[in-house]
Amino acid sequence: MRVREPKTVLEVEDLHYEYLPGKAAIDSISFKIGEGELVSIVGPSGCGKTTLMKSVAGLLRPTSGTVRMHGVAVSQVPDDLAMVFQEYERSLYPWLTVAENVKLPLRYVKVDKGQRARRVERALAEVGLSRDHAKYPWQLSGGMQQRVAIARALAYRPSLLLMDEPFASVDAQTRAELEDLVAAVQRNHGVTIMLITHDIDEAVYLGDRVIVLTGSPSRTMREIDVDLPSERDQIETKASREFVALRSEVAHLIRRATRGTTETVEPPPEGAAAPEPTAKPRQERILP
Amino acid sequence: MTTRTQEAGPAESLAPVKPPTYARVAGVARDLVVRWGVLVVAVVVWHQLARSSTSGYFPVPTDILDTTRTLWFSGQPPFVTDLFTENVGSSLGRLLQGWALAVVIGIAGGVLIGSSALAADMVRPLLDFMRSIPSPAVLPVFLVLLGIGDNMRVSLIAFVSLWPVLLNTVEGVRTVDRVKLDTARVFGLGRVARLRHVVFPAASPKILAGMRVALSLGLNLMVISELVAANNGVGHFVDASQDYFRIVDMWSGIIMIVIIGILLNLSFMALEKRLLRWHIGERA
Ligand SMILES: Nc1ncnc2c1ncn2[C@@H]1O[C@H](COP(=O)(O)OP(=O)(O)OP(=O)(O)O)[C@@H](O)[C@H]1O
Ligand SMILES: [Mg+2]
Repeated sequence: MRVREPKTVLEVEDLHYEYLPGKAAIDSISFKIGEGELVSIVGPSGCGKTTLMKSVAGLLRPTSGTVRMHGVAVSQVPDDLAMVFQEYERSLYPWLTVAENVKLPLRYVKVDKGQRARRVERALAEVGLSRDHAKYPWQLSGGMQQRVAIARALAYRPSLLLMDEPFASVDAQTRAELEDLVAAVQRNHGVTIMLITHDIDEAVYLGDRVIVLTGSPSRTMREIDVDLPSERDQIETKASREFVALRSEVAHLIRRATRGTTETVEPPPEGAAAPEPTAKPRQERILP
Repeated sequence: MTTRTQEAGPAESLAPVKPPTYARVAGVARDLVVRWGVLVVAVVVWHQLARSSTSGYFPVPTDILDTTRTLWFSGQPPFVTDLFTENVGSSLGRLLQGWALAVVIGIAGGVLIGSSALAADMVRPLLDFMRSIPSPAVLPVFLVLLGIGDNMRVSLIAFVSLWPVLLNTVEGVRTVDRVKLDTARVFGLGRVARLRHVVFPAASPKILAGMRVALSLGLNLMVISELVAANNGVGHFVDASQDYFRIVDMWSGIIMIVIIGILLNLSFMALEKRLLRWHIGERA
């Protein structure tokens, strides 16, 4: 552990997962997330990102390797963990109003009624849905539904927030707004976030660190520190030299990962173009 | 602003434009004709045929309606006769008892079976078999087992109503969205909380549909069971009237059964609509 690193919240060590015996969905993933950090995880489609997330959440039991939260091995769903699912429409409850959706998890947390109501109020205000408490999720647009899912996670006050491609199916404008919302939440509340995405810009823009995974079955390919100022701006930051450099570094890695090598690669020499990988057949995907 | 337009709820954007008054009146008239036209024509044809018939077994509908009113609805406020209280009361009592029993057992059993994919797969063929037995065929079995009392009738109604509730509950529980269950688990809801807040609501459209089918099956079995050795009930009334050749009375009993069926179905549908507002809205 590096000395300047804050307290470790999540520690994934040599995680290996097989849905069917002998067919690995995840080969070997290891990384750590410190308190208050936002770590982006990028990898080619189908490489096992959702599987990783579910293993961290305790929804899947790793075939081998360990997931530790606050130093304790996860054997069931940890009670201070929240998640924003990839399929946000399906993760909201259509029989509950927006406010009830946010409140439901709090019924099983030891907080008194008044505080519960205040938390719901505050979380919904934070995502800009103060006027939509009584609406049902199906009366909202996709972007607003995703805000409800985020508010639900915020109100829960988790020590680790997992987000699985949370903005994959909203339009570009809404996506930018929601990204800034998450950035603000992380800054203001110091929430620890593990963000899964396949969008390189998003990974760099939001992350304190980016972890790149190889194609299926995935391995940790590289960790990249994002040394950008913590105040970021959709237009300014994305136009900065540092951002562009980081972005192309990640893009090169992803390209290499997608072309099929599952080898862990060394960082390219400073300034040199990334070497073209030797052509190798793409790893067969395990079909569900 | 672009986001505002995008985020306008579907309810507002799909609000129908009010048509001018004459068009609305025409629309209502057309609706009435479509809904009730065939029924009115059928009654008129019936009336003409019955009038031209010389058979005493084929009374005209106006006589039947008249008799229905005097026999069943001519009492003191609330305007029902003793005959009504005695027979409709006992019939409804049997039906609702049997149905309620089926609902309780069906939902409890369905949740239990539906909680395991293996159990559901194992039990499904049996449920399909039980559901497919023509219900009047089980009447003799129940007569032999339970005699001719009301226990037999209530049990028979419960038995026949059970299968659709059980089957639909199993399917409803089996098909609860995985993501919704995973969400609940991640947010710390235990087994019981998940059942109450996720499984039940998610399965409720199917469960309620099963309950509605069970209610109409139960009504059938209520009548059938009352044709055998009963001493009250609307089914018994129809049967007894026939024995005494009181043909118009018999028909009025049949009308009463139809009225009971329609009212039960309408009330249940109103309840269903209320409970499933979210489901209707979600699918709109
Ligand atoms: N329930 C399952 N049973 C068997 N195989 C599965 C199951 N779920 C996923 N897989 C397989 O495991 C691999 C990883 O899937 P996963 O959903 O974790 O990928 P992902 O990186 O999240 O993909 P995407 O980018 O499309 O979201 C895929 O090959 C997938 O087919
Ligand atoms: Mg995924």
